[in-house]
Amino acid sequence: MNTSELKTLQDLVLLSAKERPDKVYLREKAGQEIAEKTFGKLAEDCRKLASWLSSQGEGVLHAGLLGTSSIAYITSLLGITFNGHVAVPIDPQLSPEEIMDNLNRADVTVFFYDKRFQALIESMRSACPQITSYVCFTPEEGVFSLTELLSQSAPAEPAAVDPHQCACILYTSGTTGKSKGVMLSHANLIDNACCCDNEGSDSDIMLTVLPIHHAYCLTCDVLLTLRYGATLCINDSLIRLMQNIKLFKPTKMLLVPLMVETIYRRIMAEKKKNPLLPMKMIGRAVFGKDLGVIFCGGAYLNPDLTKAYAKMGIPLLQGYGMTECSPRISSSSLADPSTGEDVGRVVKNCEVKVEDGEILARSPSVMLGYYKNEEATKEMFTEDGWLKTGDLGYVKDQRIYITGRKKNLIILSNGENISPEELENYFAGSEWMAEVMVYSEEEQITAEVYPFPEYAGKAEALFRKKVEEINKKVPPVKRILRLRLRDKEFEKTTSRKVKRIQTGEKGRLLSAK
Amino acid sequence: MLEKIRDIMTRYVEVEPEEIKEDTKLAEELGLTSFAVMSMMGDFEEEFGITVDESELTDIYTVKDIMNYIEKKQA
Repeated sequence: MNTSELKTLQDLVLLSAKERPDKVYLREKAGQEIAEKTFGKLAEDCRKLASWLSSQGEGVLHAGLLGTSSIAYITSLLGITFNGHVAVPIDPQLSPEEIMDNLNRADVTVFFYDKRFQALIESMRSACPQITSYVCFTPEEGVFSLTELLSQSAPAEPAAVDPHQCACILYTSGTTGKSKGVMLSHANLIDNACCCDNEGSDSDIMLTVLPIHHAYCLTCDVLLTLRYGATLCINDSLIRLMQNIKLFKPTKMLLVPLMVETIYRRIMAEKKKNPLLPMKMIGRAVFGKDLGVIFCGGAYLNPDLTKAYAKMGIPLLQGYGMTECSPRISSSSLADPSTGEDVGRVVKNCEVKVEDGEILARSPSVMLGYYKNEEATKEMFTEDGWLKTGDLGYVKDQRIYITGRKKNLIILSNGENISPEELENYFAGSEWMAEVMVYSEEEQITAEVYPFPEYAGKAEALFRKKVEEINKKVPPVKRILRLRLRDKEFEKTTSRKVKRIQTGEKGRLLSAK
Repeated sequence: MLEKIRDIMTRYVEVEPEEIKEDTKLAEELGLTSFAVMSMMGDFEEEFGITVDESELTDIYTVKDIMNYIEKKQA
């Protein structure tokens, strides 16, 4: 595909259909069968969706999407953006209150959802009064569905779309608790999908595993396969990842470090039982003979894992980025692999520099800003317009090395960004507790508490109970896995704030009962 | 059943099988991440011939919860 012709997501959809109308773009399990959609059919459905949307209100509409990856989800997302409307993918793991809050804050008026959220729709009608149209991804009794929408709409003519207008609003964890809506334009996303040369071909089969409301999945799974005319297979659930690898036989996958590590741990447990089996054979048995590479990003990756996967004959290539940068800032390829120490080479069109130890980036992929949050947007940029990544590190020969985090944000190995304050706030109102701090220790969310001395005897039981309560409220990825109890106050700054970086001894680790 | 569950769980955490008891908490005591729990459920699917529904996993906190879940699915 001649990438110089690409300006908008509409161009990407139309050009891929023109080049390979009958080739399969999307593939997913549908009961015992496999459902497919070609590039040609995708373009037709996007035009139909655009035509239906134009009847749903004046001007640019914001359409929310709630669910996990599916052919219907991807079709809806690309259909929404096709003629210039804005897609707002929502994290399905959030609580109903957070889901509705995100939709309201993004001014969503049209809502596409997975049938398992049907029960939520009733409460949404009063909590999100601005939403006037609801579309279920699959046909269900008594509700309007995408299937109906497509069957009753005539394809719209492609309308002129300004490449610099917002295409998507993606929510990302803020350091102060409330998530922020990152506005990415068509130009941002196209630039990022084209920021590396020769990174794909039409013989690629990708299995999409990461959550679709993340920029990494959107750009590197959905858009890159469109660009190269490759096939994207959908992993319907993390429960069946290993089975789906066997079923779809992917040649490439994008994973986060946590997945790479968990799969490796499982492999090594098998290896213990059959110590004579060569690692390459085990690698083939687990990943199939077609898998040529795994791309890994979103969080710190232990270099030992890169070496371990190499022994299995599977190159593990690292990249680096953030939602605000659509997301790639650096990337690596088979021809130019990361060493395990660095996170790849700075991508095309992107400039990177280091100021006061912090990595700053400037590129056509950098977001328009946070939706309706000028103050937060301003804070993310230097006065001369560089994006502050919040990561500490250095650049050598255009390769990026990360050494730490400047901002107070926990980045778990599954790529989830978690604000410690958000979890700490759940402890508010515990009369037995004087101070709490949440941080990541050995990749696990840890809560450390200093109880009031008069509660010292009961503190452990109260602490355990509180954490259980919190863990029931938060999505599974945010659960607190480690507990530490201290008998001394936390170290404080001169303004009596708890210091985020404590130099003294840690509290006692509460072990398994 | 506990025996088989223990065997699969030790693929994901480095503990002696006997340390895994019915009331052992998956997150707080074994440090299992939500992804490890999901992968494990995939193994249980194959081992016990059940179909796991991802949305039902939010109520699983202990080994006993897993056992109850599998029994319910097998019924």
